[in-house]
Amino acid sequence: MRLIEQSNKKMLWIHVVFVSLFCVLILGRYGFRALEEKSFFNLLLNESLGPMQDGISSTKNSIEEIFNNYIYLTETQKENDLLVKRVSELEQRIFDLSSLETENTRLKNLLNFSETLNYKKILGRVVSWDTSNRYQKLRINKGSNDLVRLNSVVVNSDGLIGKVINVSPNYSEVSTILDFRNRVDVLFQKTRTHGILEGLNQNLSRVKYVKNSEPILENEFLVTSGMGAIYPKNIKVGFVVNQKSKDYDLTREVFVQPFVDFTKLEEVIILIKGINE
Amino acid sequence: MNKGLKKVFITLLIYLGLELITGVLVVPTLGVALNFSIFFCLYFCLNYTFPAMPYMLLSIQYFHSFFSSTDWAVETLIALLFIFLIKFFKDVLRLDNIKNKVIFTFFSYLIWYFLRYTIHLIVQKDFNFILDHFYYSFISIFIISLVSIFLFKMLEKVWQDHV
Repeated sequence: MRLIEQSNKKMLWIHVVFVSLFCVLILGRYGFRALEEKSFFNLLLNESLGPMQDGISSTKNSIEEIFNNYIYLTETQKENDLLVKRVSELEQRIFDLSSLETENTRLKNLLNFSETLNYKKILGRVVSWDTSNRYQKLRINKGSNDLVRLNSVVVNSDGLIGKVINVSPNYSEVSTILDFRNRVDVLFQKTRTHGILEGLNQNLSRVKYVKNSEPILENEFLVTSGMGAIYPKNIKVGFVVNQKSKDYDLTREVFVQPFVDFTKLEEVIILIKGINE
Repeated sequence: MNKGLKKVFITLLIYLGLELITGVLVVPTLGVALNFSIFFCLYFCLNYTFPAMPYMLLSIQYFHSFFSSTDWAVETLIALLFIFLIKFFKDVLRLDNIKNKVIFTFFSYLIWYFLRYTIHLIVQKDFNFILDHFYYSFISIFIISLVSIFLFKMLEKVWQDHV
């Protein structure tokens, strides 16, 4: 114990030399320890705290995951609701655009057709049909305020529709070529035979006073003759589907299918006589 | 227990406590390694000349090597060199106030680190790596220099009546 208790310089230097030699021998035997090497304590800490840190980290991650999933699901539900709403809006928009496209095509056809007629043209929309006489009378949204007059001719790109029989300031009533009271002087396109067209039922019209001697062909087209001072000349009317005659009669009846599909009628052109565009 | 051994035991206990605090709390949070082993060696070199001191320095450095990447043999050699240096300059050292103690600690650490890294530079030959280590050591030198005020008082209390 004197080594600790007593101060002795001579002995101290002896021991200093002894310990120095020991250290030098150790260095010579084992070499230097590089500074990059991890200490025993560091390794011990890593090993002992590793599982604990791992456990804490896993628990923390699990809690975070549950919390994040909950938030994610809530957000997803909100997002889903918004997307459903948006899809519905977009579907409606697509439908609107599709309708507009169809309408645009129809209007383009109407425009192309009306360019050939030297009349003032007014675009009208069908607002209703006469329920008692199906497809025989219809109402359009143009009237005397739009210069529509009695007997103004109504057409569309397919052909003749009829004529105006009643006019109010904003609406007009149209008698179609399916109306038996509406009579149109027509011309068979090939044979150039005249006849008087009148409505028969909701699908067909008939042409009266056609001579039996005239060779009327099946599917032959009919156009307006321009006589009678109401209908302009050369407006397509329909085509022949059937004809009926009796031996003792001088004339026969020809049944005509109108070009216009009255079941799908939406827009029409009203031709105003006496006013050029 | 023998009085001297008791003092050694208490000193080593304090030292162990400091190493553990540094290793568990200071290093992970601040990223700075505080080397208290040097301070303990300095303290003994400065105050005592008992023959077992080289062994004590060796024990401290060996113990420290568990907590640090330093080489205990090199550190012990530097510590033994410090016995010689301090004994040589003892007459010019005036450590009767706090300021001088802090300055002494600071410069002693600086010299110690310089010696250590010079030896490593000779062996490892990686100047940039050594320079980087030396740069980061400055922070720990500053901290230990400030903490030395309390450490001096603590060790003086333990070793107050020693020869």
